[in-house]
Amino acid sequence: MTTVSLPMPAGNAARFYDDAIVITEKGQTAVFSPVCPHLGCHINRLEEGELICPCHGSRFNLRGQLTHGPSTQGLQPLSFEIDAVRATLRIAVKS
Amino acid sequence: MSELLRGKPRARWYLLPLGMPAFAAFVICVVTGVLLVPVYKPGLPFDSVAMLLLKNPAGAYMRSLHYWSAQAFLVLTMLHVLDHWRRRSETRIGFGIWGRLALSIPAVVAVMLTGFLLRGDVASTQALNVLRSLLSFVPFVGAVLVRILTGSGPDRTAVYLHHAATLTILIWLVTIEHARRLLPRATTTAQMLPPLLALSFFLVPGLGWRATAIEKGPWYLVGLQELLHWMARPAIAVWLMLLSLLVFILLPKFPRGFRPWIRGTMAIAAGVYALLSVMGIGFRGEGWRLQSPLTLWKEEPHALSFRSYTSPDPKLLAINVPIVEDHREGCLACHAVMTGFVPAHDPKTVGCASCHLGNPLTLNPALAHAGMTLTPGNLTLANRTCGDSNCHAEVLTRVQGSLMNTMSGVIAVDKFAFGESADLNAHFEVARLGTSAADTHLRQLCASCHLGQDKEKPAPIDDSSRGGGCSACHLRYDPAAAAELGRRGGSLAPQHHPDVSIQVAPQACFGCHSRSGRIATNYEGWHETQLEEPAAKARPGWPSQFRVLGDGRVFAKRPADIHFEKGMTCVDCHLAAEVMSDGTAHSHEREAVRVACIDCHAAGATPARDFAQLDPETQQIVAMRRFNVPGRRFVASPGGAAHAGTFLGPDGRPRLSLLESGRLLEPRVAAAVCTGPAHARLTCEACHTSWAPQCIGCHTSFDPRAQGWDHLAGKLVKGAWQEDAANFEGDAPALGVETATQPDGQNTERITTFAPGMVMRLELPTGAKAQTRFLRLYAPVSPHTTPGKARDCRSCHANPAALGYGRGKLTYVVQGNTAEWKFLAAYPASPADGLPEDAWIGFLREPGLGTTTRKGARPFSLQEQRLCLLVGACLSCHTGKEPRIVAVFADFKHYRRSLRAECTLPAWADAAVDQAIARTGTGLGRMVSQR
Repeated sequence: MTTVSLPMPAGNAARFYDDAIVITEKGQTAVFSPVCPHLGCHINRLEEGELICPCHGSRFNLRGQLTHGPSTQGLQPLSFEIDAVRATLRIAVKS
Repeated sequence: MSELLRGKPRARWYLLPLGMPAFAAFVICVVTGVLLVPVYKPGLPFDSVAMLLLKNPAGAYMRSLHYWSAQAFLVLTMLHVLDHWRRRSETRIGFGIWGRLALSIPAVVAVMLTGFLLRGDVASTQALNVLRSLLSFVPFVGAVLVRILTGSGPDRTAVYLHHAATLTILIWLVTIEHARRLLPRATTTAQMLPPLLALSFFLVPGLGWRATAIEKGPWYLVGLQELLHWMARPAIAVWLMLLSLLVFILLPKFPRGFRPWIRGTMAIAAGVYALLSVMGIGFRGEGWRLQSPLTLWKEEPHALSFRSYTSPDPKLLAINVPIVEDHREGCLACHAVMTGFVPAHDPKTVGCASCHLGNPLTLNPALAHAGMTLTPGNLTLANRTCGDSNCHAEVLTRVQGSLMNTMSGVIAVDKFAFGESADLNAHFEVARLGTSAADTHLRQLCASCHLGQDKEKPAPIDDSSRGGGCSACHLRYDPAAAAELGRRGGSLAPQHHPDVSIQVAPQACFGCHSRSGRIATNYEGWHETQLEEPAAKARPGWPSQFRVLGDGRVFAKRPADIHFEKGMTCVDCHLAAEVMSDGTAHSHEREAVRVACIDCHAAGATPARDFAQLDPETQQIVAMRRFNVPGRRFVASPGGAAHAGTFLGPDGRPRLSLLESGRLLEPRVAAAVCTGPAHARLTCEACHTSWAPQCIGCHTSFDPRAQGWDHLAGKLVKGAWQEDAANFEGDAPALGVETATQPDGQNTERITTFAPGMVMRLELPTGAKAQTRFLRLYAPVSPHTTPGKARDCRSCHANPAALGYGRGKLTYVVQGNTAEWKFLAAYPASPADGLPEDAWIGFLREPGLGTTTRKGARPFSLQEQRLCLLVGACLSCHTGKEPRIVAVFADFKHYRRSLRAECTLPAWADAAVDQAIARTGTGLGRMVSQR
């Protein structure tokens, strides 16, 4: 595992990075792996409140839970720490 | 197909062997590939291809020839395999040769796929991810295959080696064995070259510069992608492919009687794969949703042409094209000097193409501008522009569901009025309107105002502007930006961009909100008249007392809202979560409003929050406006929302910083009468509204012979809806009762202002014979005409219009020791229901049902009318400011006995008070406040 540092999104937002999807909604922050559990595509779309895999159309809600296949699993949550001083997130990702 | 199965050859072009042309295409592909080696960097695959397209026309052409010869090689090889299949070659050549040929088929696909992966763009990276996952499913050796064939991480070195060496050599060796020659025939190669050279010149393969909402991969694998879309267990697809390959290799070894079954099964599988490919290529759109091929075609940029090799200005080739958001932004070669942006939207940060689309990987203006949009704020494409996943996707989701976009409330009321829906709170979307009478009425007379209406061309926002999505509010032209519009089409690139920011100008709201309730014009003190401009010009007071809007409507001066006079604009009060939706599907706009007058005008302590306690969006706005001063507390509304521009001053009172001028206002504290028990049930608007536009005697009809403009379809249609009004009034509105949900979730009744919502005669086109409906529905309104001074007591308690009776003379007549109210209507009675044309309810009558356009809203009951007029009776002699009058109504029952003999009350006075006290307790004031 390695740690990456990413900027804390301002406002309600979903931000897509190579290593993580960072979601802030109503003051809550969640971080997920961007890798689709179905076939490893990087999820990079938010539409109508859902995260969508562009490769085969799996859909996940903002809590990372699967809402529509073909994937059979939700997104993997990543552990993180908020650095309030630098307004960044320190996220543990697989090296 | 049956011929292929039976193996009967025919001398037709599509049944030619085509092996030699395939070999020739392969060799051309190899040669062009070798020529590309010096300019391709496996460590920087995307950037090296991008630079090729931007700066190296010869290299770009070589890449094009490489691409098209590879495509020709694949197609011709497939046809050649089909030819062998047709001729049952498995029975005529040795098993070893057959096996090697069979194995070369996946090698051909692999060499093509690795070529796709070497593009290095997002699509190829996603394909690499899928390939690695699929390879990992290969039994026993999956993990090893992944590492050997694809390497690890984003580096493409392993892929490059296999593409350029391993696979190429393998295919060439098999081909040499199969064709029994080292090189293809020179004549065949010479025949292949001209079409490939031409194709490569006219159709240049592109490069994806950003992530897209669907990644289908190369065309020959779309069938597999479609299959994987349906498969929750993709390992099965891998096993099926391996099994098919094994069966194909072992085909000669199967007993002769089995082979037709195997051949038939494989032919069916090939047919299914072809169908899946057609499905994926032709019918799959964003998010892998089904879409029509026409829609897909329209959404795809079709701009690849020979112009890639030309540049109008050779100097551009010398410019260092900057990298923005992980890709070369060729747009900045010409547009680097563009100014007018806030830092967040500076092209040096976000580029040009992230908003305007087009193609940033070319220096040819025609190609760069193909597929671009000049109106990126339109909601029809905002998911690729403003609402792209790394920009404002979350906001876009909310805006798409907002009432300004769906028009749900407007539609629900209209359908209710037309008798098409019984539920005033039902949810609708303007984009899904059909062809019913209400739908066509909305399409013709209302739909232009919804936010999703596309803006057709760049233009400053004026009083006629409609729609435009994000740009409807967030785009602002200063004179320099407006001047650029006049130079469009010239040779000089524009240099000044309109501002795109949170600096929302009042004009943004004006266009749509000068309609319906007309709050935008009311706010500025303009009342719509029925005058034409020439007639208005002949009136005294022209031009200072009149205003003509872009659509020709003439407005006359009325008192403006005090907040307007103080310099406040719409967004000084209304929050982002209100206008762009808070994500809740509201039925009507009054539910979406979260601010309240007492946020600024509360008499007591004002609730406030620290910066850290604000919601993230408000924090962002506060930061952008640089209001984040340590220790500052921001005013919070009872509805839970906090104001970004209103904060507590040193004295604990609110201070409002105006967005337009930056001026700091100190709002006045509400008067004591506002907070007393007698008026606790009233909204601020009930007393603090000076006038509201009111349409009297409306007539809506449908003319089947005329032509109407369908705003949704953007075309003329047969049959036109027409609206006529007898009169426009602009005076104090009626009062009524509205049920509002409080922050604690409790429903409470509040007295507020109402105006005619749907008071009209409606002629519906029902079959051959028109059906006429008469409606007398009022709507709760917020007219936005707050005066500096509230209306006086008599303007409510002795005003027939305020009570809903309509305009006229309301007189308190005392005869001896009896007294009664009498009303003489100004407007004639409507033949439809006998009430005056401008009335809401009958004079001192219990109102019936179905009187408003909102669920839970109603006019005053008879008892409420009487209580109101009881106060009005006293006011016929006294003023409301006399202390004893205030005392009387604080405890009417007590003072009733001590009233003077000349204080003659209506016969129903005691009964009305007793009824109210019986329900609520003692005292008229408490009764009113606690009901």
